Amino acid sequence: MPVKNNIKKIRKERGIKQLKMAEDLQVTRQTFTAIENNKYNPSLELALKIVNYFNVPIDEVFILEEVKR
Amino acid sequence: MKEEKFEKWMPFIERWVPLCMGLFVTAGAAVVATYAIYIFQDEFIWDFIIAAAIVIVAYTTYYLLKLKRKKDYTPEFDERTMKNVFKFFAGVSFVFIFLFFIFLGGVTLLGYHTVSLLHLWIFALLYFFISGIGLFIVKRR
Repeated sequence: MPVKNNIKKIRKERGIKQLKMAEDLQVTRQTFTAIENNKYNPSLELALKIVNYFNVPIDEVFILEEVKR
Repeated sequence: MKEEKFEKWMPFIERWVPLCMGLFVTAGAAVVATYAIYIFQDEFIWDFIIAAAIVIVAYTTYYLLKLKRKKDYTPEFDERTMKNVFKFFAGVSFVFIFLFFIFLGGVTLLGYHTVSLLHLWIFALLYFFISGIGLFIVKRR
């Protein structure tokens, strides 16, 4: 079951720069881009930091997609 | 209170500790190697000290240029890059051990009973060389 996220959408809505957020979360720019493009799933710690940063419930940021069988 | 003090020093530590560690390890290794040769072979050779001096100058120049070029406050490493580095090292080690067994098998099949130390050194240095270059590439991905 892949995990998708709305980080890019929420970040753009709030007008936060990608570099600023990467600096605040202490991750590299490449990692932040990979997370936003759903190429890399962050650790639980980083995921919670992101949720805390936006101050929204976790299910608004991360979505667990069900795989059809 | 202690944590606040520590956090105040974090940017300084993150900026300068890697350079200091690199210089300390290089200088320490050169001194230990020179001393060991002096103890066991009773001669003082300058080779390690000269090599260490070259490495220290090159590394310091590279590090300072890198610091000067970096305009943001993002870290050099994070959880994803660390994972990539571990995966890369695991892969390279696996491939090299596999190649080593192939090499040993080939040598044994050809009927040799001894292997020159030079070949083993070439193999070990090749491993360090490839993993070093690979680390540089993987770190930036």
